[in-house]
Amino acid sequence: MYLPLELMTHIASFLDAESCFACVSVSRYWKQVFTPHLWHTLNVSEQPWSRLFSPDQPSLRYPSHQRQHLVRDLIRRHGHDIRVLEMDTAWLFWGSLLGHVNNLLSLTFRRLYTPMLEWPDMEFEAYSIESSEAIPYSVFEINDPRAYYRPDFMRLLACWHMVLNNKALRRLVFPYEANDYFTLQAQDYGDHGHFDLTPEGKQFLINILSSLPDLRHMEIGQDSDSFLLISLSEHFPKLTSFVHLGTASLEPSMLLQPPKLHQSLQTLDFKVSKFFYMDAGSLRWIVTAFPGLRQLSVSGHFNGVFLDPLEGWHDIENHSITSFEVFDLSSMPTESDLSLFDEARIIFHAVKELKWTGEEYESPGVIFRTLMFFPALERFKFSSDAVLTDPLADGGAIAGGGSVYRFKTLMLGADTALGLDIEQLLNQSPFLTRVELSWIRPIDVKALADNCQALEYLQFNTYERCSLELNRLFVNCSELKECTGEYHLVEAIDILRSPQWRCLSLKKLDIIIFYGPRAKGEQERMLEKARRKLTKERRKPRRVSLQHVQDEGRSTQNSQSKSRRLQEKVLSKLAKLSQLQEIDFRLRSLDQWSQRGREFYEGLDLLEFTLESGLAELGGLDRLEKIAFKIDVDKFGQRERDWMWERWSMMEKPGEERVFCVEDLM
Amino acid sequence: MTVILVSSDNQDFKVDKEVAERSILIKNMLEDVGESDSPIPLPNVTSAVLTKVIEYCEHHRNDPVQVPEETDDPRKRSNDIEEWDMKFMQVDQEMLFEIILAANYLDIKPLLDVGCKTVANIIKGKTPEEIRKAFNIVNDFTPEEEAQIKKENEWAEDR
Repeated sequence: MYLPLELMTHIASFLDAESCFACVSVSRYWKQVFTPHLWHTLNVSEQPWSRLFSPDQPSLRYPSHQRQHLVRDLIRRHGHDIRVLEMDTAWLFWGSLLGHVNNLLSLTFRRLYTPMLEWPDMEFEAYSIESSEAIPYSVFEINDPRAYYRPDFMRLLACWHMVLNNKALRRLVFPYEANDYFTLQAQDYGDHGHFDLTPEGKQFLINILSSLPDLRHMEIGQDSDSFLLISLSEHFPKLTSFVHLGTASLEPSMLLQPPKLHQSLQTLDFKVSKFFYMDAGSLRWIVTAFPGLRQLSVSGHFNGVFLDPLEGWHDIENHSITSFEVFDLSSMPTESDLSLFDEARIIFHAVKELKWTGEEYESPGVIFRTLMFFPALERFKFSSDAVLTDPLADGGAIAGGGSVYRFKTLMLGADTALGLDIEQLLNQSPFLTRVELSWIRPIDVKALADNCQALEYLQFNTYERCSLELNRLFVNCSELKECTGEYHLVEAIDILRSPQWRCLSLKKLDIIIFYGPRAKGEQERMLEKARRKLTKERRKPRRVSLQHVQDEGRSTQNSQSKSRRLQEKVLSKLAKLSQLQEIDFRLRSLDQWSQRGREFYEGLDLLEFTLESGLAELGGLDRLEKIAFKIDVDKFGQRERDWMWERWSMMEKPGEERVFCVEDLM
Repeated sequence: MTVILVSSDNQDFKVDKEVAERSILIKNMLEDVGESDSPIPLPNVTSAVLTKVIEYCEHHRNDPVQVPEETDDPRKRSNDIEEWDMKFMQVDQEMLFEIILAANYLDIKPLLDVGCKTVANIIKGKTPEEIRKAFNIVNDFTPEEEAQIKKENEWAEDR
């Protein structure tokens, strides 16, 4: 077998490092092809490299000093092949690494977890790392010359040497929290607790970074961020992505001068720690300085994004932010942020996607009210472990009710136990096509059914039975392709009484069909409905009792044949969903919900799946690939098995106790 | 509108222009030549291979044009082959390599990718000896060279 070098290289691009190792030993030609690829990307925390580089994964084969020799030899031989390097700085010590790695496109220094000194047998000649004209001692935060020879300082010097040696760098990333290092010399600036680099330090940074003509992504930290951010337009016009690693907020000083335009920056990420303040002025400065910005993120470990009520905030004229498409905050804004947004009349007109991934929040009502500032939002993702309570309880009703949201996607985190009143939100969001909600109430399902008729993908779980509401959903939402989740309980009699389902393109459905008895809450609702109907019709009042409603359900079970006719009818209704690919009739994750779950499902009389009760009705579902149900195995006999095998080539899935799950073999 | 493609063994294939233009080579040729009925000779592709390639192009005639992503990570996934493509690629090895060569020559990037991914998937998880067997490759290392390679790479075998 022979393919030209170009095509072999293309094949190599689909292989992981582990596979490349086998390839280099195949033949001379393969060695030539795969060796550069093997060394192209070296991430010391990924296999197989971590087996060699990571000090906390002791090699079975080599004692420590031998491993160090091995690394040195390998880097001498292959260092020039490395294009992407991600490492902690412990390895920088070795001159071989510094001298032989000079073709990097991307360099990422990881946070150093392992102090140098934990390496035993450091018998290496340490590369003599000294200051030079390009990297003078004086720019570093170091007072005692004896510290020049301390390993941690030499590491920092080595980092900058490495940068100097790799002129083709496109990406440069220093560790997130550089505080463990000696950093660049900064001086206290004013009384804000902000630091700024010395003029010499600034010059050093500009010189060394602008010597990298292809640099596109910069993540430096070390108190240099604010200075660099201001200098981007002057010195780094081609940069497309900048990460602000500062521990402090934006420097107020930079706001004193009007921004110079920087056209190419597209991504700006504030990876901050501790407190972070962004006042309206900073936000405005950013928006003005970087007209091409498409994504602005604030992330990291901190206590909240504070939009600081600085002077001047109130003077800002109506300002629309039109360029961002994604606005990413890892923390909730607070009530006061919102009022500031409001006072500053800042509206994010072009933000289509909004994500909150943090855990902090002040009031759940804030979520909804924040949405007002993002009128073009199409995707809203919120995920948090926080348990949200009803926003209405603390006055958190959606302001500006009556307006319409343009969401297409709404995902409220799977971990969020929503006691949240999202009914109103759903009522105002007619464009939704994809919805993922965790635990919602029947009234929310009703809101979906009544207002969200463009719905295609729906996933939700519910604690309460919502038989009528689900039927309504299947009648109203004709575009529905998937409806999945847990505890989708539907009573058989409701299916029969419901108007024709219009969700004929449904492909995936989770539904648990039962005959009764009805849940208590639902009985009362039925009762109430019956009473209202009677009143409305102004008929002579008839005696309506709870017993009456219960009997409606129960009477269907009286004779077995009647019950089977009912099942047949239900299944023939399901059989109209001709596009179905997966249908799951099972109650799942029961153990998770001990008391509540048990109450929920106990005593339910579930749909049967035998030929007598109408299984054959489903025979016309040509596209079915998976059908899963829980069944008394005695009732599901060989006849049914044979029939299913013949009809869909399906077989019993082993290993699931009490659950009969049939899955496509293909 | 149809075009006529001629394989190396002089067989004519009449295909829709839209289908033929999945090949960037043919697309450019058609653009250069303009409206013309003259058949397009493809001297590097046999009729057996061309039949397969046309089958692929027919199936993917409506696919959107791929936009290559710019990424620093050279390692791409190989486990994202569509079901139809996977079945399409179930051919003997000689044909597999012929298809890759033809896709490269005709400049059909998605087909080239699928072919190379298929080969990558065959390689994955195999020892060097198993790879040689799978692709019928002669081990042309001298014993000394082989020992050297083994020594150099044995650290990677620690688990």
